[in-house]
Amino acid sequence: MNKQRFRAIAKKETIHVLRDPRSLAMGIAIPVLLLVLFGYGLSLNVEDVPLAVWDQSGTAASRDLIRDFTNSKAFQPAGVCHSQSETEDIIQSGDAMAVLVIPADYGEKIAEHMPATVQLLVDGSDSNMARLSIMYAGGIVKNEAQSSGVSIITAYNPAMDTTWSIIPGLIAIIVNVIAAMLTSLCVAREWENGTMEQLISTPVRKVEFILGKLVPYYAIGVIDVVVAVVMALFLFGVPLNGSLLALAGVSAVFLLTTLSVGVLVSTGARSQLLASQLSLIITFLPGFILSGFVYDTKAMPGVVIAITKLIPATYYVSLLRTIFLKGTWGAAPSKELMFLSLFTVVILAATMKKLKLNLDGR
Amino acid sequence: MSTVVRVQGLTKSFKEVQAVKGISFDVAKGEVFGLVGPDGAGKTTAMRILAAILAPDRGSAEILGMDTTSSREKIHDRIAYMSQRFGLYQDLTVEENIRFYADMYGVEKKQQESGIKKLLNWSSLTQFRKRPAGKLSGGMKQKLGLACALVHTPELLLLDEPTNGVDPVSRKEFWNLLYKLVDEGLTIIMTTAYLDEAERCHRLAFMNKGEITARGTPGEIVRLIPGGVYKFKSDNPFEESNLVSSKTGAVSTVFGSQVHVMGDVTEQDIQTTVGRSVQISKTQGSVEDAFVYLSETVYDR
Repeated sequence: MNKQRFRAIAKKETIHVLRDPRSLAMGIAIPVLLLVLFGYGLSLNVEDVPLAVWDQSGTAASRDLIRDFTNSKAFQPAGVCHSQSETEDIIQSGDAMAVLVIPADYGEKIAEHMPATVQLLVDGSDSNMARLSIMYAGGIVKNEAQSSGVSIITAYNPAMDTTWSIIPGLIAIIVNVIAAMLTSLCVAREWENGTMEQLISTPVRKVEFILGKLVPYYAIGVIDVVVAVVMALFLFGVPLNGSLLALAGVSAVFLLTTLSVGVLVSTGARSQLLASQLSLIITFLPGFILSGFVYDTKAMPGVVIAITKLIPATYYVSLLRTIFLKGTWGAAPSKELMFLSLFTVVILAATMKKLKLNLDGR
Repeated sequence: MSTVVRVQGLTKSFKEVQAVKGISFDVAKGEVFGLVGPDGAGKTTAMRILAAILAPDRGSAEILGMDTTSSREKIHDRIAYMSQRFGLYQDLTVEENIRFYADMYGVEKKQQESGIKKLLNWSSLTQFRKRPAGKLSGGMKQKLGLACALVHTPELLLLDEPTNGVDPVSRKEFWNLLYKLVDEGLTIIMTTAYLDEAERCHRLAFMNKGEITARGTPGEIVRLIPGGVYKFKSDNPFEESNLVSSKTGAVSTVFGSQVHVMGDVTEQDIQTTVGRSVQISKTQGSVEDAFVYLSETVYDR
């Protein structure tokens, strides 16, 4: 590798970025916008779930419990039932999404300081809503010290604020998409503008070309991560339980991974439109759906779980959550970091093989 | 004189289209060699192979004694290529573009200052040095392209239609720059569709449908029109030109209000075909006539 040529490419690529307001906007403004939009909009907190009640006990204790439910932000009263069939009907009709069933012996048991059980019937058709309703109900019931029918332990997110788990994952998804898209455009642009034919007539080597192209976009990626982390900490109030150094290290590796994916895409796409579409599909969809960001990957079929293991975003989402919320650093994160590094090496090797600095095969 | 370029049986196809069909030629040091022919003749493909950015299917091209397929980077170090489409960075300034190519060709930083200053001065772009390349006129863009190509003092310059879309004054300026380079001993291969430019080359090769159908000095090329050129004035030049070529099988073309007829034909044939008494003059013809003639007939080598 010739340092002079590498520096020249890095420098000219930086000039392109600085003089093109659109790519600057895409690189920095869009991630901020996405973070704000998704951070507030995609909040998975449940509010005002319509709750019906079948109070078979009819005691002061049972009315206390009902009041706790209806006073919480999560639930709002949606009717009263008097039989098993009525509870089913009210959920079927959609008037209520959950029914709290308090057994006849509830009052007595509370009075005798015995463990009491209540039942929560939930509309399972919206599984996310159902899951969260159960979580909230568990929290409310636990506050009633004696009764302990529903017990769900939320270990790493005691406030049950889903923003906390969303933001770290969101940072991963945004960095993933933006970084890949930026680099995917930069090679396609040379083909589209006709500058590639001139460039390849010089003694330029592939390594110089690829690394030179990566430099400015790496810098943008670093800025994105820094801005996103600052926003997470100060705008959304997500705690950083792990070390900042771990966060920086993991992000440094992941940025290289996703930028490399972008370069690989661009070696196969000669137009900017195709390149951006391809990189969006390759990074955004799997990153969003299969990385464990929105859906728990553990609940997926075996084949799909295997696929999620091949997506770099899965590891970054998991690593960021670990660092932000758990704050621990055990054996598993090291393994995930190893995979990211390996993946990057494989992608860069594939890019070296696939990149053609000539017009053969066109 | 030493040979700079040796092309032998060069062939290149794209899917079904055979762009270049076994062409061969040599170019000596200090020569200005022109590849001339109609659009789609395979000139650009041939130039890309010579520039070592496209591999031929068969045949070989040797540049400065090196094979264009096996020694690509070594060739790139010593030659310069200007693609047909403007290939410089539009958002970079004139000076940044030249500096970028100086770095790409490994020109030492110490030499760059004086070299770039000289090139800017030589191409009279000094006052535009801070202007983005995209904001230059067509002629200035081509001069900038030339400056970038010459920044590492190459031994061979490949120009693919360098003056395409450039106004006549700028073209003249461009050629003055080229002549200076030729005086310094630079070898140039260029393609062009402008026949006045072809006449400025030392030697020409006429390409048509992937083959070289004629070659020689401009004078030799003109003499390839058998029996010279018959010219006559006409009020309906296109109609009468078509009439003559379809009836006699000769090649006929229109220049303004004049019809030029070439090929196996006599003055009497023309008179009879046109069906009126016309004033016919006979001349040796120009490279342009030869171009038309050779484009429409398969020259028997």
